[in-house]
Amino acid sequence: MAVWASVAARRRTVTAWERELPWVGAWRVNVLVVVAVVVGAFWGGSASSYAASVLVLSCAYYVAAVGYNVVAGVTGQLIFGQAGFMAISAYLLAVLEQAGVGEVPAAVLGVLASGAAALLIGLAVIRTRHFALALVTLAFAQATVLLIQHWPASHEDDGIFATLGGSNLVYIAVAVAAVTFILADRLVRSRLGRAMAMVSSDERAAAAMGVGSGLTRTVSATIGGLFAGVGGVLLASALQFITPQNFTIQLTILLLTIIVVGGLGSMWGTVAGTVLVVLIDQVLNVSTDSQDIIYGVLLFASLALLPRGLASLPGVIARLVALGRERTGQEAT
Amino acid sequence: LSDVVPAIGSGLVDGMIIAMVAVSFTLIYNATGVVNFTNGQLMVLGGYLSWWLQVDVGLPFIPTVVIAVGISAFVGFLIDRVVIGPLRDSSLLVQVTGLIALASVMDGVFRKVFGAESRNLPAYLSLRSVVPGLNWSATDLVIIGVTLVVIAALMVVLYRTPTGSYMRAAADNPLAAGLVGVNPNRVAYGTWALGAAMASLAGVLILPRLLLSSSIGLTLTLLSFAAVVLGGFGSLIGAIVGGLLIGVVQAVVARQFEGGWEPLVSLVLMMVVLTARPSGLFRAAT
Repeated sequence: MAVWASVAARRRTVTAWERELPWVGAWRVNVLVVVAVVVGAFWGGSASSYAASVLVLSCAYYVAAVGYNVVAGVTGQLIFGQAGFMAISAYLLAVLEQAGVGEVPAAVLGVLASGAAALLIGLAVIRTRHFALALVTLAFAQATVLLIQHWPASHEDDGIFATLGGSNLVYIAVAVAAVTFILADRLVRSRLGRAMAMVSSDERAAAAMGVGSGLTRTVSATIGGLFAGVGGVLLASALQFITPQNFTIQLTILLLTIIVVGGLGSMWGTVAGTVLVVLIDQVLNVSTDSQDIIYGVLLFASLALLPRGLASLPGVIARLVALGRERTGQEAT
Repeated sequence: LSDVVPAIGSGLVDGMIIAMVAVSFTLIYNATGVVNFTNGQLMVLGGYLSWWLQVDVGLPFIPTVVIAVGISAFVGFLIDRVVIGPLRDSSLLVQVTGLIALASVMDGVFRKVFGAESRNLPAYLSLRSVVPGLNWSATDLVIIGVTLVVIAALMVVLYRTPTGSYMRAAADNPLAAGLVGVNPNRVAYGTWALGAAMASLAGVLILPRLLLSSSIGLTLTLLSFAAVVLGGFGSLIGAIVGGLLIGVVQAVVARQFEGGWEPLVSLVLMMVVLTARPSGLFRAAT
């Protein structure tokens, strides 16, 4: 038994949440997710169309943010093109639908195209490091939006309609988000996930342990691109009408805010980050220019004050409480 | 073919401006190791300050330039103290993200203060062609002249004065520079002030040739990045050559292909060079 326990302990990396809240184990997590999905979908289905559209939008942000978190957070790659990958799948969905292709094949093709673009970027930049990667991906995202603006089939700056699932969209979106959570949670704990974390912290050490950093980074980029593609399809169908302006750097910054505020590399953090950003969005109901300022300030404040994000909050609070107890204990004696 | 010569002339003028911003980027990168993602926003800041001082306050051009550049230098100092300071020991990802956050905040502030519509400032000198062939106007000559003087002055400061040797020392080996008494903090905020001043001067100068709006910051940032990438990271001469090259290629493409393809030029060039020759066009591949 002891042997099995130690094997089990080695197989799973213990997250901060599990240290602080031991009842959040993997199985309970899956059950929790299923319950949340059922409740969320029924609530979303019965609630007003406004609430449903907010729910779908949140799912779109969440799925894309998870992909971003796998690349930037877990693998530590400076990728700033998530909005570009989302634009590819969103526009393929819309354009193929206009051309008479069915919803589902259009969506699948869109997601595959996003993944293929990410794979290409991953292959191309295997040799480049650090901010060269940041520049390539940023340039790629800008170029994608520019090309869409010049592509007649996309109706250029006039915008284009996109639909998916009709009245079932909210169920699809919630189910996709739940599957995304479980997949990402499994992925981070898998062999591949640990390889990614290792490449992030020290590529040479990873290579010495037999983890090829080039392959790991490319696979990670592709996974990030596929999730971005799913997020793009959901975003397009949530908005129902898209223009190139929906996929500018502002979208990348929004996703960046989600994963940084939530906690880079933390899967629960992305959930928390998405909830926070959507709440800010809906409660403040602000104009675009204030959004630029609010997300920018939030992003910077999180980097400077809580660099490991909301996910580290339970640990930070526990430490503060322990510290406070120590202090009062010392005063008592 | 005779069409191409004026395009090259126009491209060289734009290239001068891009070169100045690329040099500002390289300066900051060399001295502090920070990748400045707010270059374009600093140019836009210079542009808006110049617009405000000339149109709203009613100052003549020369005092406008001095005040706008002065304010921008102070903004550069603030960026180093307030934004970079807390992230100094963080990873590159965090620093870059912090600066992208700052760029987003600056975009939002510009739009709130100056509005979303584009502005076109009347030229500070005539736009009539005075150099035949290359089709340069008096404004263009001022841009070329000022850029050359600023870059030359910078070279003199960097290679002929104690301040310059402090900056180069801090860039070369921060630890050793600290040991011999160079204050890395002062070098950092000094370089940021200088870099911001140069970027904003570039913004002030190019304003009559450009439609100013709050959303062009990122485009300008990427232009300067493309120049730096072409010339090779960290090389001042490379930044200048890369800037001129980008300017000329962009102008020629704009002349040959109708319909606003020229923003794509710098992006594609940057992606190709970064993937095929990450060390830049001119340095031997390592």
